[in-house]
Amino acid sequence: MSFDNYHKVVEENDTVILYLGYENMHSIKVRGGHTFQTKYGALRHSDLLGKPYGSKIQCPKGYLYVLHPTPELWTQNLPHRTQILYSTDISIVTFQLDVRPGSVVVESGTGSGSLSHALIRSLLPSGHLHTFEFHKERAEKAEQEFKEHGLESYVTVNHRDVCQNGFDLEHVADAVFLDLPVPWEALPSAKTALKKEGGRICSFSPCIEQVQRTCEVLTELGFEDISTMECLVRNFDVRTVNLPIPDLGGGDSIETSSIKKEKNTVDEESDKKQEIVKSNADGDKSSAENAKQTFDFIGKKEDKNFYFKSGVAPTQMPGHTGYLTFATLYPA
Amino acid sequence: YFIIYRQVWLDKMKFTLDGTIGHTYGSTFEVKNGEMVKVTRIFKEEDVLGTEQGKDNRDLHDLDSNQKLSRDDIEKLKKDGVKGKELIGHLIENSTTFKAKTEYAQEKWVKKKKLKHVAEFTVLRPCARLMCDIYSQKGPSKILHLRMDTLAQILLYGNVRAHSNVAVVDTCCGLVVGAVMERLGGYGKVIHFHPGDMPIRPVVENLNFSKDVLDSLYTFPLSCLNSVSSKTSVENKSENSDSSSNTTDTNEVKRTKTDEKTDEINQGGLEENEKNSEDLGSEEGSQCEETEGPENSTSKNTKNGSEKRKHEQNTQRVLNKQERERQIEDAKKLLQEKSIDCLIVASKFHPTPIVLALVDYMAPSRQVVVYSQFKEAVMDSYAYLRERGGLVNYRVSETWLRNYQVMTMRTHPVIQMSGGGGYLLTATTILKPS
Repeated sequence: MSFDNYHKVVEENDTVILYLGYENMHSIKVRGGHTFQTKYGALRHSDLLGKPYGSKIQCPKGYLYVLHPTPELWTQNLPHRTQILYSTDISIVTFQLDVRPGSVVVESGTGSGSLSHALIRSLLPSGHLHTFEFHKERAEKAEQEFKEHGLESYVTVNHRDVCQNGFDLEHVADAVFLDLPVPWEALPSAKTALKKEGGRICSFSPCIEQVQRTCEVLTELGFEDISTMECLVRNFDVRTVNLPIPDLGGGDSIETSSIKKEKNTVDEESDKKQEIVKSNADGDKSSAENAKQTFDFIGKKEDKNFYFKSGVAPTQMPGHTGYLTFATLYPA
Repeated sequence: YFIIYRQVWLDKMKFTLDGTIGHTYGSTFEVKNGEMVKVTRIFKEEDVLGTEQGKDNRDLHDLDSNQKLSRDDIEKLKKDGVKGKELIGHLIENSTTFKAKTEYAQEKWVKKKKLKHVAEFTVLRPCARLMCDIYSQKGPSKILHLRMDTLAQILLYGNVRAHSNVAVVDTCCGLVVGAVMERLGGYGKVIHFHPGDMPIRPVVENLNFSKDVLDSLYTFPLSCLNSVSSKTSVENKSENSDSSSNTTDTNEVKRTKTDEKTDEINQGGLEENEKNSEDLGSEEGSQCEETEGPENSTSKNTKNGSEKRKHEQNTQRVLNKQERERQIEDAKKLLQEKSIDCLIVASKFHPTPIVLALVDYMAPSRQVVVYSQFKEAVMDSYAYLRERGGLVNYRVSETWLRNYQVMTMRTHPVIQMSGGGGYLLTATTILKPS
């Protein structure tokens, strides 16, 4: 019951986020008497009741934090019933559709409710989301979830195929969002759904061919400022990196010649010993040389390593989610 | 205030905006004899293309002489009232190469001519999206190169929404503050932390917020921040209470003056705003310290009009001082109650000391978002916050944004793209054990 507003403590039937560590979180619905198994052992739901959000909760083999749900945390931990929209795209959709308290938004398809939760968050308390899903069970599940999350007054779930049957809404919406395989079939009805003073529309499609057809139809219907974009997120792993300083042969001529002389001997041990002895003898000279090279503009040199803090990009990053096409409908 | 959405950013045209008043937002106007006249939608390229087209450009030469009409001829036509579709028609007739171009080349040519010669404007209601767009195009350094998608993420990861208390450190002309206020819709509170004595946030003014929304905005000089924990109170000067009787008069005067100002957001507009703000920002003085002499209108500035402006600003400042000090006290209470739900830092300063100072006032399980144009600054804040403890779910990231040109048989990414949109650090606070 804590999605519509921030609450201080965990209550019965709240959906909470259990944070165990980096990329290790779970969402659970708190019910006294139940237990949730974690890698740190069993967590009794009753241990959460009455605790302030953000509290550290002790488990048999470790601890975790109970976090307040947000649409972003929900997106990362919700049960997938379909492919979902992730926060990067959600942020752009919300921003580009000018969603704010009081906005009336139409969405199809509801899917797993990832975007829905984010839209509701942005349009409450005075706005409304009309969401459409053609799969009966998914529509029912979404409706149930909104109720569990205390959001039912801000959303109407419709079990309907909008491509075949339209939205059956006339001039009520400030914004329409489409995530459909054949979005252009829903565009005429989407246009009717938008308010007379105009509004914004967005279509999310993974394939460029879908985008092309969508843009064609948007133009035919009189939409303007048609703009297609894509956005990808790149996370950085901030850590200290150590790069070894290479041996470039050394500036000590004696050392070099001793290496040459001893090169062919089998006894590597004596080789090394001799080098060490030599370098010690020339200790002052070599350490003076080393002292010059501290490599401390961007990082620091420590013994034979150069170390610095870096934001290292991951080996793999998301390369494509979908194309976002936005357009404006101006008043007639 | 409203935004004029211009197709050509270069042409400097002078006209009054009176012709637009009374029409709905989204209407299009054309400039006719220095005035705005409502028109129906601009014509589409296809309307002017004839039936003759070429196959490719093998025999075409790119010469100035291809267009028979000189610049003077075109200007004369415009003065005679020829415009829009007709003007383009003239240009097509007098082009030796037009009919030999391919259909796509013709479309592209017409599009270019439209941009150059047809002065049509659509009047739009301002919103954060459009303000971000304008500043990104006209003065990205003014918003610290904060790109649209990064701003969108700040609002999302901050969980900025109705009923929350948001602390925003903003030196982006108020773009972030404005966007936050839009998302709050008057429900909840926004505290704008700013350097100097007065906040510089032209964007907030341009967004034309209602009184409800404006009432949710608190202003807090950064220099007062350390005094929050030391519990020093703001002392009012007795002079201020005397001038309260003049408040309403001067406020009204100020309001009519702003109505008269041309609201056009163009290059000049942005510059003017900056000039104003520099006047304001240069006056040092902290309201949280005890003594502050009454501000005189003696101005050493000899530029025309600026003296008058400065006097106006000074009287405004002296009159609202009580109001401002009350706000600071209210904001201090919010901070001391640790009821900040979201902290956003998007400033030209090194973020680390700011974040470390403000994160103490946050409720547990709430969002921190730090923006910098530079990855190193964000990384530094990350390192120090990790050191401090009391946060989880850290993320340092950037986003990549690309626009596409979508046309039949001509779909491809746009040739130029943004080189970078800045970096974000996001994290969630937890309850620090006492």
